[in-house]
Amino acid sequence: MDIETVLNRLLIIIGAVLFVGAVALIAVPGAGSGLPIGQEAIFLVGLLAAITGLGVVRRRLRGDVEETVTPNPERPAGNPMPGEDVDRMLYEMTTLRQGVSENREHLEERLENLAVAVIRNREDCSVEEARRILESGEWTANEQAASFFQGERTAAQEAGLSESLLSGTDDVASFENQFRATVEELIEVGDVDVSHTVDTEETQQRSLRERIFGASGDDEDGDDVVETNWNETHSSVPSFDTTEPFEDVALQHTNRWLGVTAFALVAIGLGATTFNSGLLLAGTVGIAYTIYARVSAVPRTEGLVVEREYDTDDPEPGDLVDVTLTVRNESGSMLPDLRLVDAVPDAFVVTDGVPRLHTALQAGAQAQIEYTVRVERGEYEWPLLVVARDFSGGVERTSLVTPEAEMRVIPPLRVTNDVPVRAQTTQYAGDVDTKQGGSGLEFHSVREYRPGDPMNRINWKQVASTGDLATIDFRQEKAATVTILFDTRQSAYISDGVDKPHAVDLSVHAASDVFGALYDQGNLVGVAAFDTVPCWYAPGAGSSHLENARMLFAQHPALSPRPPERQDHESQYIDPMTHVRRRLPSTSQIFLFSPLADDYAAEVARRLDSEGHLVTVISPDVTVDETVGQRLTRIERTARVRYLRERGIRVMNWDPDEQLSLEIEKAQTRWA
Amino acid sequence: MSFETDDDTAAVEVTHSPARFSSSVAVAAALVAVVVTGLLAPVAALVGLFGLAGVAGGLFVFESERLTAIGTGIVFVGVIVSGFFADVPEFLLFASLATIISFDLGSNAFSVGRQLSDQTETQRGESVHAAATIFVGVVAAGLSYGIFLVPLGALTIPALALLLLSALFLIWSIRQ
Repeated sequence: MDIETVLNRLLIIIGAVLFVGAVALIAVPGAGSGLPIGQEAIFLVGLLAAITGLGVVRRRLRGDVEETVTPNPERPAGNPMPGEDVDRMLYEMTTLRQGVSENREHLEERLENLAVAVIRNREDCSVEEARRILESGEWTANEQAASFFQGERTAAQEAGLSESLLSGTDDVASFENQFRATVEELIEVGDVDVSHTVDTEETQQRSLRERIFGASGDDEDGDDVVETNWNETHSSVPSFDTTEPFEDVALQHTNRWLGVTAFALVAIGLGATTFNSGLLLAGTVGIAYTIYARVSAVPRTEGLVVEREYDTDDPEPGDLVDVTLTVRNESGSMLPDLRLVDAVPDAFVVTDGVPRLHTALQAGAQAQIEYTVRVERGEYEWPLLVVARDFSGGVERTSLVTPEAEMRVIPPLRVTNDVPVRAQTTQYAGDVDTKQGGSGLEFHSVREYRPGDPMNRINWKQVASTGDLATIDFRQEKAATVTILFDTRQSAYISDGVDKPHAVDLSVHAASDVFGALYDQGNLVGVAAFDTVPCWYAPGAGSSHLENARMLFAQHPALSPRPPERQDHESQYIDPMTHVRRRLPSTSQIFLFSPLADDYAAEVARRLDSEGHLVTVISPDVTVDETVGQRLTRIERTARVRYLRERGIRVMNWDPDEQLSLEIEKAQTRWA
Repeated sequence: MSFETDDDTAAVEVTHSPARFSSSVAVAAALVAVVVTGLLAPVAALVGLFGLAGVAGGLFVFESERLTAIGTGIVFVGVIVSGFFADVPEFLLFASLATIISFDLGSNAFSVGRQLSDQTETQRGESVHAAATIFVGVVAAGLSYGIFLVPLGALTIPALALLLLSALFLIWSIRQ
């Protein structure tokens, strides 16, 4: 028993004794006449009460009401935009003054590597040569940008830590300006597409929001920033992943009546000191509410029966599904204050209606919630967040009730149009033109007759003119082995707008079309992803293969619409490509879906190519060009695309606003 | 496959202003309290009007729970001031009841607004809460008025002092 409880008990005992004394004095007239209690005592006690009351007011104004914070599941999940890390680093450096030297070093290195790549591409020279051009400053006419790479590093290294400690405001600000100027210059030099130019002279203070979402030029758009939600981050509920049909999250006192005692104490205290019977009476209401707040009953939410129905059984990604939720109170007692929020999965977006309700349910009564969601691939079963209070609201019980209503959203693997597979030689008959002659449709060559050649392939014209038998060979069409490879690392979960699908979603949607098309052309198609969760589905054929692939697209954790950091599985660092490389058939072509957000992705494509696989990179371009970080990532991505193309790797630079099928057609004519 | 985020597929709006119904009742209750104090002492009503402005502004304009709570406090200061001018127990009891109802519903409006949203159907939950609060207050006020009316000639000064002290101790004990 701690001191607090002892003290409380003591206070209660003293209070009770005094109360009994008071009752005795009232019951037995004249009993108190001998006590040395006069009007001064009343005055003192009244004053004490009033002061205590003011203390309560102070506590109320300081203290917060404790209640469950509910998520906003209606809103889209917030995936970072490319370049956010750079903007954040600049913000930390200039505004927060944190990690100045580390961030600076990182940004300098990043920019230098990029500059080397850009120059090397433009001048078509070696890395050493590019580095020399960079250090000499010959690459640009802009002095600010040129000086960024000149002698900066050595000076910083010599000065070491002391410089970073002493570095003043001007230093950091000038670094930022120089950094911006260099990025703009690289856009110019590297001939990178951007929608507008930026005036690098401006040096206003930018907030983090402005830095990450870009300063909105016109003010009416200021409020237009779409707000996002992750159920678990934006609520006080630690996890919505529950296997139990009913799970208690929290039971707490809300403290929402804190302060009501003040009404009683101040009124009674002042009433007593001034012998004002009206104020004494007025104060009693406050006492009544103080007691009301303390009398609490835990709401019996375990008696809630929840049912959830969908208007369609097998929705496809992007479909709108009507959800009807029925909540029935079978606890046998009234639930006076129910706050219900349906914890719609992060990947879904509510497009109509509200997945919430505030109601009171008598025993046996029921209520309904109806709303529409835009669904995304995967298997889902999600809980209803129930925040129940008693009549006064003094006690709040938070629980998760999960109805048995699984939703499976599986991509259809439609065939939209042909996908160009690269010519190669394999053993299976199929659609890919090969350089081998044989039976087929397209003329390949004429060769000497060999016994056993089919009669319909004998070149009768030649027989007629020369008398020698000859055989026509046609171009053989063979099936290719294709592996669709996804880049689903954390870094690929980026989008070009808060409410836009991220690159992994774009990739998987596009790939489910590509898979259907490749399969339809008679190829052996497999699926793999490089992520910390191994994902491998060997190339194959047959209708069961197609069905399994559909399920894989829908269910595999590596292809989940939720970024890995928000998933439960343990991640340990292994080279994510290890398991893929071990299993990849040596003849397999690769369709790599990646936003090319970092060098690793480009390196994977290059290494696969050098191991003899024919690689086609399909890269959704989710870069934007608002802030300096975003512009930087756009140059970096452009440099990677050029680097890959230089090595003869096919790269389909896909703008997600365009249909992939159109993009494929364009690419096809380019590659033909 | 391309994703267009037009109106049909865009996320619905979510805003968290204080719940309308509770807010309106809270302002109405504060208004009643101010009117009653005005009947007792017009000067007190002036103080109360400031409080009323705080309650209404806090709920409907600035959406600040602090401002609303402070507003309710000022309304109550008005009630007490009016008590000094005119010791009419019935009116003071009624005004203080209205103030506390305003206090509770004001804070509930914020809580409902935060945990749910403006777009949510909250009418039933809010009314039940308001009804419970008003019921408890009316019963309590009726009871204390009943006891007040019964002539307790024996409530001597020492008895009153002991009663007040015991109440203080009990309140201290439940401060958590």
